[in-house]
Amino acid sequence: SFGYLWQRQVSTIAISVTMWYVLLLVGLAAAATDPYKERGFKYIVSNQKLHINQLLEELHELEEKFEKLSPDVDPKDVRHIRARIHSLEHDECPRHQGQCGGDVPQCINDLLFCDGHKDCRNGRDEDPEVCSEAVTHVGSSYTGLATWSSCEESRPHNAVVTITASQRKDFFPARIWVRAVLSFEIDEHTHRITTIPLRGYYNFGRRALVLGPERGQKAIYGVRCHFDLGDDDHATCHIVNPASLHECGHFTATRY
Amino acid sequence: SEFAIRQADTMKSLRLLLVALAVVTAVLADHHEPTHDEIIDQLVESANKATHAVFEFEHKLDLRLDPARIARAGSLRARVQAVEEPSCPEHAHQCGEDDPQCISDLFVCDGIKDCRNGDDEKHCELPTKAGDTFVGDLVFDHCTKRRPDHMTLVIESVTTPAYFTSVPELHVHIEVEKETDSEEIEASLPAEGIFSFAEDKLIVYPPEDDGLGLVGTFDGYNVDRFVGDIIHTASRETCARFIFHRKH
Repeated sequence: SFGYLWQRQVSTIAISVTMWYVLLLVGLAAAATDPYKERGFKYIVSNQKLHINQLLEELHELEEKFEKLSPDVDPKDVRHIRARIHSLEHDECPRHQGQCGGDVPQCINDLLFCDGHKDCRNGRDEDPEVCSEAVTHVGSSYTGLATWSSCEESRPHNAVVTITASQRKDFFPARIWVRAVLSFEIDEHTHRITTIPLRGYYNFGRRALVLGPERGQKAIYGVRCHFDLGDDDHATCHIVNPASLHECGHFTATRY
Repeated sequence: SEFAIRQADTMKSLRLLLVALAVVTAVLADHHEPTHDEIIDQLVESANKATHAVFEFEHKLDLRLDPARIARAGSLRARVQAVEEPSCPEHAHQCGEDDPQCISDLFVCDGIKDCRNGDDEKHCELPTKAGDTFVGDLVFDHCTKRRPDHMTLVIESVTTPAYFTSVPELHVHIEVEKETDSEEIEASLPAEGIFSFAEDKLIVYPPEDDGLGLVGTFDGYNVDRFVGDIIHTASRETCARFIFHRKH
């Protein structure tokens, strides 16, 4: 049995040697033919990688420095500034006329804005931005701190104009007829609120919301809002006497 | 039986060898070494990505430095300045807002620095060069003979005397076309004019005997547009206005 064991051991060793020999062959085949060439190649590759990483790092540093600079101006602010400059500039349009805007100034009657016919030479009177109905969407609310110069003896307080109904007639699209309410606080201790129903229209050419007393109501107040800040969300509003248009108070309104 | 045992043993060893081989192949397959081409492709790809990132950053910088944007901002500032009270007396030029200083109009673009900040010699490129054409669109017109909707201004030639560079002299043609029901009017009126660097103004002397001249006001930043007022040269009263744009 000793002989058998010995024989078995030898055959196992022989087999394991064969195995290692095969392994070596496989390993050599797997490795590239020339180890020095391979190392040179890897050297160049890793250096190139390092170089790229360094460039990316430098770029990242620059980007961080750039981020620290003041950010770009909000286009909305630029629009407001433009609109404010425009309102300071001498507007040559006579009464009941609106400015076509654009590069070549032209005035046309405000009854011709948004009526479906191009009346401005540049067609601005039918521009979707000019003819936006967003101002009169039902539920639109414009609020601001009202300061009174007459009519009402009270400290500055919030006033709100809310559109409750609007209608645009097919045969006369130059106006949008609206109903609205004006509310403001008349007593800051008891929070008593006055609500005045109004009706009127929106004028595209002059970008004005003109409101007077509702039918059958006492003619106390009217409201005129000018959307002259370059968008549909900000307006300069005046609370006026509906007959004389004498100004009672004013507020700078923001849609909310 | 001993032979049988030895055979079984050999078979077992062979099986072991096969398993070993299988393991080696599996390990080799798992650690698949990328070929040289693949490594180079990866390298090229990461280089491309880096280039893309650099270009994106450069684009961000360019957006801030865009000359058209700077000109637009300048035009807006010019509108504000027009609304403001003039900060210099008549016939004087404002050097600039960071260092306000008034110098005589005649010193602007004369080749000698008169402003402390050198502003008077910085903007001396003529917007109306020989060969330039500007087309004007009507704003209002109460006085011209033909009442055209458009008029074209062609700069024929520019002469800048070497000893007096602040006011180049221009030779221009004003072309007018007008179609009415009865006739078609066409006119090309030669005229003389000057450009004033101090005021960014183009002044065309009356081409006809009606005493109507053209004053074109650039805003100082936008060189492609000016407001052209037709004025009575005697009373300086504006009686017609056209907005001129450079024809490209």
